[in-house]
Amino acid sequence: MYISILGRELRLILTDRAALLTIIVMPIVLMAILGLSLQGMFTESVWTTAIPIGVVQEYQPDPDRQQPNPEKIFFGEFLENEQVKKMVSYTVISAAEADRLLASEEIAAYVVLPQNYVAGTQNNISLNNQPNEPVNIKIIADPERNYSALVVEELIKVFNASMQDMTVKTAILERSFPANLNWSAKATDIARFYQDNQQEISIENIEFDGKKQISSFQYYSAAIMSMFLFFSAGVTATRLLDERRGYTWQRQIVAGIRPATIILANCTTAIMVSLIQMLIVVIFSSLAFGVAWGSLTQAAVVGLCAALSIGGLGAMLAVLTAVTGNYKVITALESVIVQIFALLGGSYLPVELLPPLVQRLSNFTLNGLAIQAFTKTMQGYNLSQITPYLSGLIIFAVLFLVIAYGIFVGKRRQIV
Amino acid sequence: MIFISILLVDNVKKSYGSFQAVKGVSLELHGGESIGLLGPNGAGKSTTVSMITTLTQPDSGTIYYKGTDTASNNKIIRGELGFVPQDIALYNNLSGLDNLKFFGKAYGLRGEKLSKAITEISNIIGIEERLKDLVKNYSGGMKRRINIGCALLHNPRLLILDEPTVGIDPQSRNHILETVKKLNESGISVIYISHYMEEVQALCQRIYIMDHGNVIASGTHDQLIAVSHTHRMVSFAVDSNEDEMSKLLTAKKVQQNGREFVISADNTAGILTELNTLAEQAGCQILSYSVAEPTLESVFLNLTGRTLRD
Ligand SMILES: Nc1ncnc2c1ncn2[C@@H]1O[C@H](COP(=O)(O)OP(=O)(O)OP(=O)(O)O)[C@@H](O)[C@H]1O
Ligand SMILES: [Mg+2]
Repeated sequence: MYISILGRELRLILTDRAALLTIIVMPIVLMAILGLSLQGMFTESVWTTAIPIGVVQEYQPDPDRQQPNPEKIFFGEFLENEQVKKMVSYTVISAAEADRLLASEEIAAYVVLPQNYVAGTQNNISLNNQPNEPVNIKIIADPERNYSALVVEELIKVFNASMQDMTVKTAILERSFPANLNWSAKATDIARFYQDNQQEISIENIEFDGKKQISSFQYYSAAIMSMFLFFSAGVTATRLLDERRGYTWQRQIVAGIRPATIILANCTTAIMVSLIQMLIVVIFSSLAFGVAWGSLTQAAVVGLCAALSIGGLGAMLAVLTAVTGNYKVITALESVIVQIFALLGGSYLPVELLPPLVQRLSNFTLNGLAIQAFTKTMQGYNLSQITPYLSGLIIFAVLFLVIAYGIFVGKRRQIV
Repeated sequence: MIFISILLVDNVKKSYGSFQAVKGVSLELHGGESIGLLGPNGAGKSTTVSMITTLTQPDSGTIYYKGTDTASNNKIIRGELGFVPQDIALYNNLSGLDNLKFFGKAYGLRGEKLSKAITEISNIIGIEERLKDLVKNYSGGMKRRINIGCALLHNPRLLILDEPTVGIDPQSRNHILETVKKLNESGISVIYISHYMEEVQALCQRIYIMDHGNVIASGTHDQLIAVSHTHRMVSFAVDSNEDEMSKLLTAKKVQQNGREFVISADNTAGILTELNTLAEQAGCQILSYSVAEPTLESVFLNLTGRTLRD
């Protein structure tokens, strides 16, 4: 009978346009919107602390060099600029020290100014007729702090762009960092500015520890999908209440089907629906936005763990609605709780941009764990490296099931 | 204890919060019999039936099915019970056929047996052509028929129908009544709930009249009529001064519609003389006068001072 109920539920949900809109269309739309609008990476005024970075000088410092001295401009003007200081704080360190600090997460990234930095840049920006010489600035970033790395990268790009023509240097800096401009406006400004000022100085993003950086589309695909998993649980729990209201529940009970069977089938439906949801979103995001999800087998394992915790949540909601006999629990989930978890878990903004307390809390959210597991899979972490997140998801699943079972046994009379 | 009845409801009570919906109902049903529960809205009919189906537990009192207390063993009744809820209990986004299939499976039917039952039942409820349409596209009457069909697939021994004809066209209604009658004649015991006395009168061998959570009268149609054989519904009309007349009639149970009156009289012999005396006092004349044969309606009116339907 369990199978018949499961089949019926899947059929009802997968032919319900409103439900499909919520669990499949909405996440895809949101993903596209957030992915596109935050492509520039300067994500509004959410920075709480300046990003700590290191600067490694491979060239020979020469403070007395003739003007314009790129070194002086970089350290004296650019990094000391009030706006820039709000975003990054730097220390000049050796390459070995930089690797150590990066590994211990004391800095988010480090910038390597190459041997020919001063001479090359000076040559490139002067009005002589020498051909431009490539100056390779490297950024080595902590893969855990993807966004910080991207911010640093954007800053360096802006800096290089501003170095292009020293005659308009002051004007350019004015333009990039007017005193009262807000960050999001600046983001587009910077992006536009950078486009207008392509030049020969190249920036290399070096993989640290073999882990890739991920794009905003990748991040938001995982983040929004994880948030919308909640709605899979909501949709299936709602179905159970519909059954009570519509008396099909009563009819099944009279026919001798046990409430536990119905609730179990409902919980399995939540698992299946969330799996289908993730499958569609993953396929769509990779086809439409070119999102790479990393190892597909590993992503599937993550998806399964996430689905199990959604099944647990679904069971808990189902029991709660069966006991209370109203939609309040589900409405609360869909309107308030999801939003809170979305924020805490990093579905709207990467948690690294949020205060440290929130960062810690995100490990206690279902979506937060799923986002971490998915994005780390994208970055190339292996299964054992993401085990903590998967365990978290499984613990959630078990916890929810235990609560569901407890309520079910305790309030049995109200359910039958 | 010896049970001659297959179902015995013994003084069951049920409260919702401080409101007592059923105040101590007793009834019995013999094998193959058809009984009716008749009563106005809120009388407690559905609550009583819900306790019989074991969906609701009585606060006190016992329900025996074939001699077994259903509270301690609900399987005994559930397996043999076909229950048609008052509301349409179907999956609107599935077809009629899929609804029948699902509930057939719920009763343990599979494969050949299931498809045979579906063919047979869709024939009985007269809904074969549009079986593959979604229920939400059905008319009210068709929904009601499928609602009944879903309770018949497993060949129940006891059929409980809670107002199965509400809100449908006369044709569907007649079909449903005939179906129930046939099923009863084939040996299935029936509990039929309604607030239409004609339906109950046509279908049921015995009738329980409920009001405000109590059974206020029970028996065969003739017994119920006989109990109040001296009570008749007397209709008359006056030519004027109807308000005066109404005041003088306060002792009687009155329904008034302008200058037309209906009273419940316990002694029809002297009633016309009495009315004439009253009319004289009120300063009017009796224009027409008739005494109706007693019906369940008049029994109810007599017992409660109200009509079955408002
Ligand atoms: N779950 C409930 N909670 C609170 N009150 C209830 C509940 N179910 C029924 N009642 C109340 O109990 C009384 C009897 O209801 P019931 O449904 O048994 O009446 P009924 O005779 O079937 O009426 P109808 O002809 O309208 O179906 C009503 O006043 C109703 O409001
Ligand atoms: Mg009712």
